[in-house]
Amino acid sequence: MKATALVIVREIVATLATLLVASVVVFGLFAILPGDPAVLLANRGGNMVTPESIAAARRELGLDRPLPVRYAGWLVGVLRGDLSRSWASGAPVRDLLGQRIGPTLLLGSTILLSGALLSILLGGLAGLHPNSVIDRATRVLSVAGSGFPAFLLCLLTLRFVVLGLGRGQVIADGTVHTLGLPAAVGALSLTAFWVRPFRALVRDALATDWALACRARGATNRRLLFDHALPNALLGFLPLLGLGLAGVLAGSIVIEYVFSWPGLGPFIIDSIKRRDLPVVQGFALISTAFFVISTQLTNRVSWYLDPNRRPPGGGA
Amino acid sequence: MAQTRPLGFWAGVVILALAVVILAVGPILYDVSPTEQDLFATLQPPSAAHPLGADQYGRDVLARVLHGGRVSFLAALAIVTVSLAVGCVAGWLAAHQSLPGALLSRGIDTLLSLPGLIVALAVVGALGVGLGNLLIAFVLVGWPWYARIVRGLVIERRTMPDILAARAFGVGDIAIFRGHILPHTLRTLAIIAALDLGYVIAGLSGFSYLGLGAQPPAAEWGAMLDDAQTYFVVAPWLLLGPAAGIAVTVLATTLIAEQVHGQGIAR
Repeated sequence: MKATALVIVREIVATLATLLVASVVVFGLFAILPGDPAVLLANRGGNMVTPESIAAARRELGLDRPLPVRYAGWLVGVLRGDLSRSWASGAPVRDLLGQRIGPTLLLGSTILLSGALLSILLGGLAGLHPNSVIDRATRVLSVAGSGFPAFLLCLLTLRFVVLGLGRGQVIADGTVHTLGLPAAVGALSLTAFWVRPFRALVRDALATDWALACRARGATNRRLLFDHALPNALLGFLPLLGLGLAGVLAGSIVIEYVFSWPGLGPFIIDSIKRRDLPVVQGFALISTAFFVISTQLTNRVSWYLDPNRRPPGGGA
Repeated sequence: MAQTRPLGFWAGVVILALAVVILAVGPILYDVSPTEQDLFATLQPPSAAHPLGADQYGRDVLARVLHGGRVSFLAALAIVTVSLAVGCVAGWLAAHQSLPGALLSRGIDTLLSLPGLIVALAVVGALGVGLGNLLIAFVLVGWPWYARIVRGLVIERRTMPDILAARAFGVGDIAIFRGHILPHTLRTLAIIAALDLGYVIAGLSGFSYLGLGAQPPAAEWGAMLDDAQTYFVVAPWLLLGPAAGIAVTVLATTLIAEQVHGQGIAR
């Protein structure tokens, strides 16, 4: 029991260390800017840039202090939930991101769930019946879709499904009614990535000795698949699902942008274009933290469920 | 190299080679300016004068697709080359059994645990939009992948007899890497880099489509699609050229990747 607690503490420390590195990367990126951010800030809203306004902006940004001190101050602020203020609107970055995170999470989790279900369904059937119609269809889907840029798929969907067939809306308003098309595009991309790996996992499970033994005892295909192959395949699928979970927050930025989904995507892209650095920095920090925590968490769960996957010398 | 490869692999190779030839020779044979405006030809459908139509400024779309493809391919080539070079050196250093090597290894692994898309967005956000800054962002995200692969390859070869022998004869560290490790890993690295090229082209076009990469009036496939979206109700043919360019490049890359991954060569 003591050993378990120790391992848990060690894992938490490892995750925190990664988060700390991520925070250094995000801070460093915006601290070593070529050009002077004070000039950018002084110039916001098209103000005249004068030596006085630059000096004021320097003080406001705290640029007169040494780098490590600035980092420490920034980190303390972040831990208190202070992500500083937007240069464009002056509103706290935390509030700006908070207002838009709801629709993003709605779209992201819908894509994750439907993509995972579709992959498991199609991959399972394709694995059970190799060289069948479904198997070939998943192959075509993965070759055609896994590298195909999501933005292009969105664009073609908008032009030919929405405008061509009159289904769905050009501009999604973030409600469940307009969720369908962006979610479908996202789920399709995800399935294109996942369906073949999952099929391979099912094939591997069905090729084992115990699967043969089950067959010899007269287990039906269905029973073999649901009771034996799927649970094993799902275990191997977990790391991919973890990446999917990690992408819930920032994985569909492009889809959001094309469909004008009122989430973080369009807002972040616009903030990058108008050089609203605090917003971009805050977003980068939050989404990186979300990514790191969800991938690490999935790894732990997968190690807990399947000791074979634990890294040598470490893990619970 | 005696093993037979399936049709899809060769189809991918032929398509990519054709694309390179067309982009190299095309702008010479089809000598039309990609930026010259003809305001009498705005949003014209495909015709003899403009085989793929003309855009909102009356610029010839075929010329823009050819020149834009050049931009994408050359930019991707630069990104992959620099990432590969940095990754080779970093991966080799990280393979050393010393404290700096271990620290570098740790740094590479940590960078790889960060989300590439967000880091690239943040870099462009910090440096400002533009093709040059986008290249920097892609290299920053790309090199740790190569470094990890090279590190693995170096560690794998470190105990091979030829290297042990060379070491016993007092051959230097760098000379061993150049003479005994790099030649053996070159084929693997070349395949990985070639595949990366296709994905980098798609990624670049995505960022340019978002308005974060190539800026007007530069012709680039993603940037062209961004333009085309504004007019795609009245002039849907504007989508055709750049969309086909991206789709064909990516499809060819995936066809090759399918085969390569099946052999367990690439990541």
